[in-house]
Amino acid sequence: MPNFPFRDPTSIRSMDRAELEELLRQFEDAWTEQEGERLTSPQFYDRYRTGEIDSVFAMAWASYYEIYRSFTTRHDRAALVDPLVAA
Amino acid sequence: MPPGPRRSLRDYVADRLSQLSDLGGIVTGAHAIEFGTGDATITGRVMLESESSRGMLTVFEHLRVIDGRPRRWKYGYRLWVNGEQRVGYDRDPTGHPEMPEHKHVFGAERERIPWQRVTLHEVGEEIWTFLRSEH
Repeated sequence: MPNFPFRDPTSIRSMDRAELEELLRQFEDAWTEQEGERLTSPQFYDRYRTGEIDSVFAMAWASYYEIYRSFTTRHDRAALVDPLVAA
Repeated sequence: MPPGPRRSLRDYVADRLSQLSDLGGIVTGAHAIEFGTGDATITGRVMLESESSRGMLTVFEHLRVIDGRPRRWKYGYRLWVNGEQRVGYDRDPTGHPEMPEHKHVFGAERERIPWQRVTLHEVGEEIWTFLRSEH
């Protein structure tokens, strides 16, 4: 019990595509507040890939955007490809 | 990167959270999110305190199932001592593909130093060394 008398405030939860989209918006808002510049997540990601932005905040934002794109790819496949395969 | 054991992403996430609790500090927040894509993230903060100094470790990990095994795809660890950011260790293959694993020494001239992959345990040991040496 390393944290006695406190319980570790840990949590594990699932997040779907809509919630992730909202989380990306929160990163966009936080960036605007901190940097005074509005960037969409795709715009941010393009800049991040150049190595120009180097922080844990940026790493996390990029990760969530990559996961979002993965969701989108799966969604597109399910909607556009799988029915044709089944047919 | 040596292959880790085959296990579920959920088990791996639980193991990572438990490693945070084993650093000898107080976990003041550790939140894991699982996605239906074979990805999970952990955001955490651990407070560590010696007789004369206070430290904090902030953690971000992006876990991903690769070839059936969950791994740390990305990580960002930051060590703070008495309110100052001292050292950081990153693995960031998309932001810095030319040097995925690297170290940051804050206040130093070089922004990124090539570094080997680090474990959470190693980072915990380093922050305790900082805390013991600060008077």
